[in-house]
Amino acid sequence: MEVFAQQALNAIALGGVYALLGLGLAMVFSVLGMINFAHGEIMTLSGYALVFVATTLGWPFGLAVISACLLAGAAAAMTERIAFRPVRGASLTTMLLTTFAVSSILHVVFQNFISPRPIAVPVPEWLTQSLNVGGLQIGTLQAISIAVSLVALIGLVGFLRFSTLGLAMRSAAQDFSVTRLMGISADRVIIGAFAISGLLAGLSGFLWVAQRGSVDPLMGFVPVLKAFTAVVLGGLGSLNGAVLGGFLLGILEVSLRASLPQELLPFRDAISLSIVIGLLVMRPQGLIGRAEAVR
Amino acid sequence: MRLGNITLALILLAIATTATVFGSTAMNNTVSYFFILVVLVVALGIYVGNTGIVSFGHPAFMAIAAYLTAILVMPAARKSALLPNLPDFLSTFSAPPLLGIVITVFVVGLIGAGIGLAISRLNGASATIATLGLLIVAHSLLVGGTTFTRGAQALYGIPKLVSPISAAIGAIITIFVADWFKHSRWGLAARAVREDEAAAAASGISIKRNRTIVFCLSIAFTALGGAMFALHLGVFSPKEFYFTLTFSLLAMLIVGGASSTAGAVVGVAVITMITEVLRQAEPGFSLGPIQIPALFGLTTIGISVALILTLYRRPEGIFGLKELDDFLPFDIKPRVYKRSVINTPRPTASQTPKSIRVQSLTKRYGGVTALDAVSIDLQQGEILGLIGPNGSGKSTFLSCASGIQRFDEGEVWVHDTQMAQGNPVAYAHNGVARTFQNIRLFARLSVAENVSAAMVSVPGPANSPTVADILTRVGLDGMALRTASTLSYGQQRRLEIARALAICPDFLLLDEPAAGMNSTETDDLAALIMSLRDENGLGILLVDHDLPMILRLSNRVAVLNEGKLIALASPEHIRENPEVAAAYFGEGQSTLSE
Repeated sequence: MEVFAQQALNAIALGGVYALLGLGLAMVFSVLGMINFAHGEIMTLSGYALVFVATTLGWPFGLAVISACLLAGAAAAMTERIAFRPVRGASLTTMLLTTFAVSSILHVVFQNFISPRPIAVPVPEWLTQSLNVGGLQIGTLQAISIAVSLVALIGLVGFLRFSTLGLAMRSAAQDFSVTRLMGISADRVIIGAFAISGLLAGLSGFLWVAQRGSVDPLMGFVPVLKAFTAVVLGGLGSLNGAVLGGFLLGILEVSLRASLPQELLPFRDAISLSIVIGLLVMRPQGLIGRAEAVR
Repeated sequence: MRLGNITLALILLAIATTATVFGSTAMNNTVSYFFILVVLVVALGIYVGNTGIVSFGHPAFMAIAAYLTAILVMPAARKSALLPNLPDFLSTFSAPPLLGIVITVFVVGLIGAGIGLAISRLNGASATIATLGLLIVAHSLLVGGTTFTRGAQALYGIPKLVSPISAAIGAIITIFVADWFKHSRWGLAARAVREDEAAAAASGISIKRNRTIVFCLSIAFTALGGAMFALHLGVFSPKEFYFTLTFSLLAMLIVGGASSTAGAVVGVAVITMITEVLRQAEPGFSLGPIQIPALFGLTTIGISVALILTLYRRPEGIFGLKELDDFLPFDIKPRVYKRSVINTPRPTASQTPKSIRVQSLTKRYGGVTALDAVSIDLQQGEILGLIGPNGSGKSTFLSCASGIQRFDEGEVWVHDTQMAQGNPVAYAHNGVARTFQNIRLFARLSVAENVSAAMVSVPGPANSPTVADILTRVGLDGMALRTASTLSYGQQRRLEIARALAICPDFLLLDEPAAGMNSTETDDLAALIMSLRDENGLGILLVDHDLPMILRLSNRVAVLNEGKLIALASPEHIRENPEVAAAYFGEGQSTLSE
């Protein structure tokens, strides 16, 4: 029972990170129809920013996290302005390959101008401790992961529900052309979507980096690819689906890690991804999918 | 055999011969590798070009093929040293290289068919992400599957057997097959699906089956490339087949033009040149007094920039949708596609007249009832007008009765077959054709290809009209080679009807065919519709807002209002029906004719 509760917490913590990543991807996809591979590099960038602010500038860790997130948001908005605007409204393929190329360029930039090797992150000691709650060992980081994910999700729901820009973004996710007909500026909605997705990437970057203790040029790539499969499983273009998919992936990975026999452990990514693809093939529209009317 | 392909083959052979006779070993290696890349990129183009879906997963199959070839071809003694855990039948067996390649292509092609079957269920974006997942899965299997691989370590000692000439032959075979396939009936159908899925399904193209075939062929040639890759390098590890390679192959394909076989070759050449030049510069060099520092990954930057510039300036690549033939000074004739003939012809109108019977069809969108127990039947040899105010459910009715949309209650019978829901392909094969309210053509295909794509997908009687006959019938003769999207609005409407006629339908469902037409065009259209009824005996469901036209052409008129069928009678009765007038103009007007 205790083991189960422990693993359940692990699953929620990991799922929360995937959900944050997936939500950022889904925000951009639902507004623009763009599969954004550069999302992982924004996550990596926030890791580097965290190291820079905390170590080089010597600011307190909490402040460093906040500035890293803000920087990630700004960087995501900048990628849109500089690299993605020329292909806005182009085909899915064109947009996807553009983001892939931008992601590759950012890899090389990180490798050459920062370091090809992992850089240690000064994770404060209190983050690595654990609390004993009724016989359960809860890592501080784990608790923070869960709390941050939940607060971010609730904050985002509040923003989308109660702010004007949020309402515009929700309607853009439903039907962007009609939203523009209502006189809402496309640029504002799109930049907003990128900035929020960057913020979320920054948050998940912090959680990821704090877990691993280091940041390297390719850090964001694989988690974002996994988050993508989660988003697609949840239902491409649906924000709720992205969150659902993220948590499912987290649960899947943690339960595989806990239950697979030793000799199969090297295959755990292969197994979890195969399961996700298998589920997707059974439900091609995703778990929360929508079919579009044909006229 | 087309002249463009022969030209391309001769150029490749000339390069190979020149390298063999004059080149250094390093030069020979570069040339062989170039041809292997041509095989891989053209093979990738078979899928990406014809379906329009990006695949990240091809290098996964290439990797499996490379390992399989290596295991098959390596001498037994070396195998037992490097891979001690291999099953016996593999470790003691050492195949001649050609046999090894053939086995590899066959086995990996079969795996491709299986995976293709699954991937084909997904639409574009989801399929792309799924192939991405495949790449990660395959990579982790190769690293973890130490029975067959050496884990992350390199497998070495594979005989290096590929020469420029043999690599060129592999490339030429791949190019010929890819080009043949592109213009085969399956390739044509795949390109039609790429342009418009809904219209392709309504034209009788079975999308999943088609995409599975395309994927399987594409993977088989990717396997050929993978096998050649193994026999060229002689040493490789799983990381060779990961994102770097995926990215390069995609960049080559896109820069050259994904939908063009010749373009793929040019793309390989352009990216290879960029890579070779930048590789020299990577360790840093001095430009006069200025020292340029080393930049690790300069080649990646070069490829990325080339790709981004292509996507910004020419998203369809250097060649666009053209082939070499389009640039050569020869006359092009439209390819003639043959319909597959069914031996037992459908009973003609003179025997038992057929009908579509829609029985108490109900369709709800959330709380809105778009159709409320509507029953309408359509006979062969009649025009049934369907009218009603905006939002009355006309298009929904047409979509449900042609298999495009699912519905909540009711039944649709075509002649004596009860139709399954949401399966437009079955409707097409049962003789029901339709057009769309928003024109849905295969926009970047030629006029002849638009009609041919539907024609090859649905078998018909031997004496059914050819593509040329159909185009003449709708007044598009002489336009066969025009790209569909360049036609005028009225011509596009008529091409949609031509495509619908290509499946030899018994029934034709027309969704606002006269919308946006001027009066001359409308008159031509009306004449065409009448002749289809009177000469061909088609049953035609005509949805339109042009009341005078509907009342003039129709044998019977059905009127929908707020999802309910409020009248179904002859045009004369409809004209005098007060309920119909009220639906259109509100209370107070007693008949339409006032």
